[in-house]
Amino acid sequence: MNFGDYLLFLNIAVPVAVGVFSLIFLRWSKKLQWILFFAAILAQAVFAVWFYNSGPRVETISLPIAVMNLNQLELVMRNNGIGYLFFGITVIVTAIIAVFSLSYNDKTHATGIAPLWTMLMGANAGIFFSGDWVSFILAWELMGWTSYFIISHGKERSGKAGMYYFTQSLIGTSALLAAVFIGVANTGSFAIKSTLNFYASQWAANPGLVIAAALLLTITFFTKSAVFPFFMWPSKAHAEAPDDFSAFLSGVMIKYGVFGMITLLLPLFGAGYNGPLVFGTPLFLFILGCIGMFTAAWGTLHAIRENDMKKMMAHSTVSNIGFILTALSTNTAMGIAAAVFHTFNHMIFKSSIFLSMAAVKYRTGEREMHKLGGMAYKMPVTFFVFLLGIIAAAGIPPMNGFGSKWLIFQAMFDKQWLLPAILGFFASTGAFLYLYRGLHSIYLGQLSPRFEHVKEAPVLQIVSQGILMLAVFAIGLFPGIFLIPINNALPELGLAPLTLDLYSVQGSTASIDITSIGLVFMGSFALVFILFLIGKKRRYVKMMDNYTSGETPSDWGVNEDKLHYAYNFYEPIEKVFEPLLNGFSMERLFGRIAHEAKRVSNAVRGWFNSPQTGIILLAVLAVIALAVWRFA
Amino acid sequence: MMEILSVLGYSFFVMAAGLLYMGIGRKIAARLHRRYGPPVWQCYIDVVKCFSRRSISHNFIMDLGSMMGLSGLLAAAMFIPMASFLPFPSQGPIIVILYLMPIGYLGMAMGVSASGNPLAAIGIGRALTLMMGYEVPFAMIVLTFVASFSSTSLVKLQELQAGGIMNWHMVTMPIGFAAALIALMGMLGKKPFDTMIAPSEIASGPMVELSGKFLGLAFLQHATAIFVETGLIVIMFLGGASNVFEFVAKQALVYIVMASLSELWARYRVEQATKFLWISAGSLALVQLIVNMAGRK
Amino acid sequence: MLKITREEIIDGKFERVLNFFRSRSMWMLYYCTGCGAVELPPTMTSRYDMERFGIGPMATPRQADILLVTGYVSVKTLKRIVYSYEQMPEPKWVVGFGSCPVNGGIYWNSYATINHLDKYIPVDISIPGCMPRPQAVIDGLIGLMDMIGRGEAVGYKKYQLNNEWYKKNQREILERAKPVLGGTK
Repeated sequence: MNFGDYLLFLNIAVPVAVGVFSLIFLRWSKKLQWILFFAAILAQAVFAVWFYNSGPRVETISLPIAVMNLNQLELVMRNNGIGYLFFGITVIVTAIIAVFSLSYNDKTHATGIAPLWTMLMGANAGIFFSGDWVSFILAWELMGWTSYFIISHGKERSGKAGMYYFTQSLIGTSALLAAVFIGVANTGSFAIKSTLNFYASQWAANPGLVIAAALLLTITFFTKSAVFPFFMWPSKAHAEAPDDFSAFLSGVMIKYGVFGMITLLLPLFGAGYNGPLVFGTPLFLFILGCIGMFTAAWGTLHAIRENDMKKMMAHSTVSNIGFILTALSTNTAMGIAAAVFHTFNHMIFKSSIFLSMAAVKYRTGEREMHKLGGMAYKMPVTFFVFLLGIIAAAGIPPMNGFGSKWLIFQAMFDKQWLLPAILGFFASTGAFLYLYRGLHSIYLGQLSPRFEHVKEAPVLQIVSQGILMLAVFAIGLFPGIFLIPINNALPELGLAPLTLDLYSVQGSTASIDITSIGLVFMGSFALVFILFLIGKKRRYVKMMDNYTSGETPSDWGVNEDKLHYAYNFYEPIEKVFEPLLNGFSMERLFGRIAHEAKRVSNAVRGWFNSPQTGIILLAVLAVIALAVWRFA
Repeated sequence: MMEILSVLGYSFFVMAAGLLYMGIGRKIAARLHRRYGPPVWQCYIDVVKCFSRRSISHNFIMDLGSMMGLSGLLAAAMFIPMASFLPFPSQGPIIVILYLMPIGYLGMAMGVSASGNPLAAIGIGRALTLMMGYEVPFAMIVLTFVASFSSTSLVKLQELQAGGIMNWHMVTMPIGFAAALIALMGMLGKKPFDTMIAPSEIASGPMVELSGKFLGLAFLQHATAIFVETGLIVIMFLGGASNVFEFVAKQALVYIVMASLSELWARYRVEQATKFLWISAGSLALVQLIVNMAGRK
Repeated sequence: MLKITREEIIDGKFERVLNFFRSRSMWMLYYCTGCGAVELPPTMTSRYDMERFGIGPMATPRQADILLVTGYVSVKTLKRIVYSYEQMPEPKWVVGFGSCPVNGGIYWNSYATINHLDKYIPVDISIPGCMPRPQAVIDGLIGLMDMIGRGEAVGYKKYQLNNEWYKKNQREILERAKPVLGGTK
């Protein structure tokens, strides 16, 4: 048993084993559980460096289980380009979140989710590196139920949210199993590549089969990545989960669907496609693109309405996933590069936003935005992290969101998908609205007297947030840091790589030099700073010394709470969209389906609940025994 | 060294031109009211007076935000090709400009929120809602250019309109031009879309706690915004310009038309304004987009 | 009151250059306290256009240079006027509009108004009349512009140097204005 041959499997086994160990033996010390979690992630990081140096590798474990026509079951792990990139970035981001968690889970705030999260990191690696269906589905299932238990973490309200998430996840897993069984039955092997090749070759002979398989796979990844119509679960699950896990959920876990679509769905539409084309792309992918843009706009509209800061950011995640979906539906080099780049950027800036909100919640205990206010005066570093995060989330230079948004729009322009792009611009502009609302309601405005005592977040939390903030800024200035590795992984998917370097990207119709935009902004900031110094001196006044029409606020009993405008911030625009959002609600539809299912199951249960059940059963058994004795 | 000087000179030229247009606008408005009005250089005096006053500030975030406001707009102005002078050559400028302007507004919004006055927050909320109103039609017009010419480069758009007034997009795409003008009215913040400032409703909205140099920076930001927005319209629809005077003249013409029209109407509420922009400017731009998409095939 | 010489308090050379700009672009906060305010709309609108001198309205004390106290100042209003005056950044000027801020006007023997505004905040120029016609208003404002140009409009410096005296006078009046029947707290 040479361990060097099974590194990819060890990469998965080590965190799972550590998780099980700390779940069973370390119940008495939550601190030790979190330290073991951080150690497991560091181990995975070491593995990541090892894999990078060793090049592409395929590892196989043969189990002596005879199933279908095979003599033994082979588990395959494959270190491929895109999978390695996803794995690397998820390990780095989770390591930073783990540093945050070490400080967040002190005596009062500790949750017992560390062992489950450690196991989840094993499943995380499994999804990215699997080469055969059995290991992929095992990893997918492990990810599913560990995340369910983590979201619930013992509370009733969180349990309901977790159940909603788990039910939708089950729909996805069932669809995945169906697609896998069809493929395995037809090819006779459990390898992923052979199933995909089989499907891709069936366009001429049996297009209905391919469309069905594509639809099933699409449903799987839509439920995981919260795309229409399964897009209301993040606002429950991300909001009710423990605060540091929300960063992981919104940053990392929701991307599994994106990874699945790139590696499992897009190869079906390769060279062998001969169906209808719209603007040069297959019709199925065009419909996916339109659904993506619709999700982007819909998520934005929901986010504008929210009062709870975590729910608002969960809807923002849904909106961004819509953008990513549209970019990768174009099935071009620019589109997939844009989608993967936006995925990585989103991981970083959404995690930084969620961690900063977690730090605020750690210090104040509040989650509703209108009850907070003025946090920036007491927690300036947290405020800066949030500020750079929302500048990136809005897609504004010089932060990293701009490069990926530009590439997404360019991919759409190259394919002349202009009508969906309108919704994209709408979503992009709507993003400013709710992002500014979060900034104002939580961090600016007036500081309530209840929170006079609030101090800056603890050191480890500041360190982890600061690293993410620096990453946002650095990747915004030098997009090549991510784009060059992504570009090198494109040939594996059968696409020609783009022309790009550390500073700029060359498209087919337009090119852009992103570093120069960032530098121009910093240059003009320097000029304005000089102008600012030229003016006469300013003096600082207190916050309550404000324009209040000449009246002294204390005379009227107005304190800082009453002077902070945060509730119903966007009432005019909410009223415009209320008929649309109330009339067309996926939650109501799913609620009705669940209600009907409950009624049917209650009726069936009623058949077996009557007092005559025993006699009826005996009678039926007697008839069957008679028939068997008579006819056998 | 020469490049730095030319960039600095261009920045001051941008601000000076914007202030000149504001002065001309005030003079025109006054003449429409049958009174004399201030001299056209009044806005320069206003800015110098603002910088010569002492000011108050509430915290460092207010300082930072005001500076970020003007620097975002200046950065956007650097990408406008004025008569073959382009300090930072770039090929995808319309999207870049469309995305650089919001950082100016976000910075200013952050600064005035930090002043702690609820009226400022109300003003910013209205301004952002209105931004959603005019950005969508404007984006549709940009998409129209992508449909016809597959390019968002301002330099290329200027070259395509060479050869006389009949080649200008104002003549070849009149519906789009009408939509762009309506969207421009919203972008400039002129009546009927000036709900952001609204002096008697919310005490001038975001500017409520700005004084001295902060107010001066806000003025300069407004002037730069005027330059950027009218410059975009001139290059996209009026054929650009081959020298500075022609460019300034065309921009002044656009601004004079806008300022005169704005004196006719009263102020919309913010949801009325947003709906109006979507319905009128949005539908016109959509018609133009579909016409261009069909024409390309 | 402090004894101070004219040369010490008047604006210096560099300030006089800036005063050229300040006098040609004055923004006023019209605190319309009383009946005198009715003469402001004619002054601003087309017939006696005030904007050609660069004078325009501004909404808040933070943005304004001139505080225009139009008409009588009741005891309650004085508190708000002082608060607004102190919120304005320097340099700032006060224009007493009408006869009431000068010597009480027709309300000179009322218990509810004050007679000499100059005791409570420093008034730079007064425009007498009940009410002054728009021509008189413009004449007064041009006089203020000349004063600023010469560097003599230094009421705000007087306020800083003699702060205790002003505060003592204000306290005497504002004590009278305290609510008797329970107040608004």
